Amino acid sequence: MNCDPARWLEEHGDVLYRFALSRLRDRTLAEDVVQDALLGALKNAKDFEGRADVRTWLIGILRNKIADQMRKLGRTREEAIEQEFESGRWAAPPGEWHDPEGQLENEEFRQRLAECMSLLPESLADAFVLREVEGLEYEKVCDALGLTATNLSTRLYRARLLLRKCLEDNWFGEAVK
Amino acid sequence: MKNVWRILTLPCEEAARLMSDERDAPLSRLDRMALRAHLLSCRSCKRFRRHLRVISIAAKSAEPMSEDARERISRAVSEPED
Repeated sequence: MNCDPARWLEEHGDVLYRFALSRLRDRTLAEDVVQDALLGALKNAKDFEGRADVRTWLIGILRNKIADQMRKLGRTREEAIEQEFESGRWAAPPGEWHDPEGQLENEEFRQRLAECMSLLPESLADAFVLREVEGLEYEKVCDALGLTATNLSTRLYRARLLLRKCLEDNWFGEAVK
Repeated sequence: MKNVWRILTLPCEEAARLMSDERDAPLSRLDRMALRAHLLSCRSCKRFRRHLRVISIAAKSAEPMSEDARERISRAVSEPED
């Protein structure tokens, strides 16, 4: 295979960086972990043989580096078990968001969304970031995370529920009303 | 008959799941009809759908890597220490 880390950086650097940033919430740490992952990939380039997708492979390596970093920082995020529904109905129905589309240009709103993403349990954050932030195809996200289509659908669903709730509690509830 | 029942009685919880799924792949015809019928009468779920759309668009505006970092990493990977 063509082992060219400069090209990996060029083509996949932003994906890897945003993925790392969503988890570590620190630019410097995110940059460092991307660098570690690329060096790790270079060292283990022979493992890549036979794999179809460079990006998926790099994301796999990056996830391990992030996990090491999170352990060092003593950070883990437990899965929040929150009951959104009671007998099929909304326990707390979604509130009215004032001009939600108007918030899209608001830097502070995007910052709040990033904070909410950083609060997601890791397994859900990984799925959400690859699918919604990076816009990776559904099958590629399954490959990168080693999930079945149904598992991924469940994770995305839970991630979206939690993010929506987080934004309602922390943005639309206070800042806009 | 079962299909008609599903279209008429889709609970919010299932509707929410369908609204998440539809962001990733087209729904089956039955699911699409059930969801459409549900949304006609459920304001909460209609809001939920709008919220998901906003979150999805906002998520795409995450920041890229800075040029400085890119250059630094580029140097590091082209001259690994070991």
